[in-house]
Amino acid sequence: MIEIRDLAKSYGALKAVDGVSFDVRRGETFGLLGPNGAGKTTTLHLLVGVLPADRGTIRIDGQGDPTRPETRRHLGLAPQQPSLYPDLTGEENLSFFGRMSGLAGKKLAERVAWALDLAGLADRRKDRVRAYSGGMQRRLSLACALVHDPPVILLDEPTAGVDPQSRNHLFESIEALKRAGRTILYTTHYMEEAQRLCDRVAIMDHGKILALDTVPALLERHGGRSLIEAELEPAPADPSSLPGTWDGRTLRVPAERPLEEVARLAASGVRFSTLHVKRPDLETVFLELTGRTLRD
Amino acid sequence: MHRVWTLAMKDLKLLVRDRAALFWVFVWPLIFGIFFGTLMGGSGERTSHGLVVAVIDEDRTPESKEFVAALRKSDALAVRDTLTLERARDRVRRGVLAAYVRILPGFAKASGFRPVEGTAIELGIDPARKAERGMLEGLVTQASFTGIQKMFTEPDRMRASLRESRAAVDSSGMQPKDRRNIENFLGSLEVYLKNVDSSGTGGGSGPPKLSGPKVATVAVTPDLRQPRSAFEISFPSAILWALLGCTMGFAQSLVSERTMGTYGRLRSTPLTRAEFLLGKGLASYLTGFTVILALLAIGRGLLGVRLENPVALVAALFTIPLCFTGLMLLFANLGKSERAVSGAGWAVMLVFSMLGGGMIPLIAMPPWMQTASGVSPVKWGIVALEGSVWRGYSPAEMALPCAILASVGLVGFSIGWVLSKRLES
Repeated sequence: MIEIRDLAKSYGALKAVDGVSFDVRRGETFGLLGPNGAGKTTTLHLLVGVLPADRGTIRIDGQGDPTRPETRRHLGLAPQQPSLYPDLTGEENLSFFGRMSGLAGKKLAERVAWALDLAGLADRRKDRVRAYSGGMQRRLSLACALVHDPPVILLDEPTAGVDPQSRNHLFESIEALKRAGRTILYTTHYMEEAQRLCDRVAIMDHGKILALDTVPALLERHGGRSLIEAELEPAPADPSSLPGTWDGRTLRVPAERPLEEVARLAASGVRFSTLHVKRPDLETVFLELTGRTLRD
Repeated sequence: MHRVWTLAMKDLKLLVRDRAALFWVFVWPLIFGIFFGTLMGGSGERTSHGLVVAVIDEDRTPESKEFVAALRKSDALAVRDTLTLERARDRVRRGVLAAYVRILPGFAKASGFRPVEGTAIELGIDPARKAERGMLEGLVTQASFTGIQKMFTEPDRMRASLRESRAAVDSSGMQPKDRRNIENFLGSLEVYLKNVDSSGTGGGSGPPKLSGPKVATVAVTPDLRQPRSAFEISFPSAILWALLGCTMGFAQSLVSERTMGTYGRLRSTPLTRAEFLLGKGLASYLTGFTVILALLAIGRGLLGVRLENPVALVAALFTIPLCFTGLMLLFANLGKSERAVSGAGWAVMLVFSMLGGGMIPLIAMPPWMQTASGVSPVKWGIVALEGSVWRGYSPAEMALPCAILASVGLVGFSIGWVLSKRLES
């Protein structure tokens, strides 16, 4: 559905996007995960043709270059900022962006009504966006990206700065879109979101893609072993007889199969007062790949 | 084109909902026009004391002075200090004065009881102003008879006048029948005078309707190529201020589209960069067009600003907004933030306005400054408006300002186009 090959964009000496290549399959939710400044948003802007690429090729839905207006008809972008007109109502914003994407008449009215329902704003449709909460504006922003029913949806950090209630609403909307078979490209620096929503994830840093695969495959390849953390009661008389490290209070044991290791320890007479198994996640993967955390 | 129109309508809707913007675009220029127009003398020809007239006393006799004093006493007139005839005519032509009253040599003689040849009073007024003309003629005639009325209270003066009148009748070539009638009338007056004691008591009957100074009205065709009121100068300037506000308002709204992210969202739709700039330009153009029409309509309806040349007005209406729309697109692409664009835009616009007659009227500028003002599109905007309001420009005369305005607009659009491409990349 989306083919990107050797995409590059520089601002002076800064290489914002540096030879990025990936494919997004039809019906797939594809995540671009990376810290702020990794090049995710620039990649999206290149993808919608707002920015011209220094080099590389982009093909969307078999249409080719997104600098062609016809190609962009297949795209729906929800930018990082809500990017709405505060002095228009929610309904007017939807109607305006719908018209810009070629909708008119009855079809436009139907799609606007659908989008208002999706955003949960049908009862606030006549209110100016200025009066909406941040979460409501985010939901409306997503609705504006979807109002013309595009096959390819580009979501740029859609939950940044959103309250938990609106975040859940957004997740539910995105999951509904996944079920409806939409192709979604989702950028985020929240690894939990990528793990929850994305079929495949590309980990990006300094304009390059460091790793790309399904979440389990990334965890397996770059996540390392799980970590068992336990407090023991009573404290061991000879900590050197135990696997892992003992700091006088907590025992830490890395393990490929943590449950089997816990069973083995219990069988050897170790008594746990607390037990916590920390499985590897995308944060661990990013740390492994870059030596930094996602929030650094 | 559908997308261009939709974008322009969205911007106009946002403008209408922004009360502060509406104030600066429509109300403030109106206040500017009225305030400075009033400060510069308003409509000039009418005051709270009545019609403004100038008196030119070429007779310079006690009778003529009494006549001027009688005019000054009238509540319906505001008599200005005596001017030369040439200046008085010029002021009537320009509408600064409603009329002039010229007291010709021989007025005093024409005030007695004698046959009169020729005109004693000349009244200069625009023939189109029929109501004022009738009123003025009545007031002048009334004032001229105050001299005759006075004779009836001053017998010595009347006796002298009767002597002069008899001599004039004797030396005239009147028909015998007319001569007899006048001699009978003069004889009756002499009998009347004999019955009046020398102190003058006993006089006071109504003045005889024999003579009096003849009043002639002279047509003074108003010069359309001169402003007839200060509002005809202040309103074009006010309109240009409105357009400056419009230009900078839309330039800032275009930058806001970039900083708010709506431009990025719009560019992810099939909207092209050219359509975006055209849509913004169309909104700015339509606003400028409406501002000019609205302010001129108010000026005409309430303050008597003329719209003498419809062809010139149409040309001005199309080219002035075009010029400022081009400048708007140029300024909007000079920077990446509202602050940068506003700073750069107003810095240039204020210089344009100062040079171009936005602050000091063009006609009040010294010649060198009028020449220097040619670099400012504000000047050409004002000239084009004045060409349709009071300068009475022919199509050929309108061609220069309109061509300059259109060229500035197109150059502004072209540079804006190039700069926007650079900003986008």
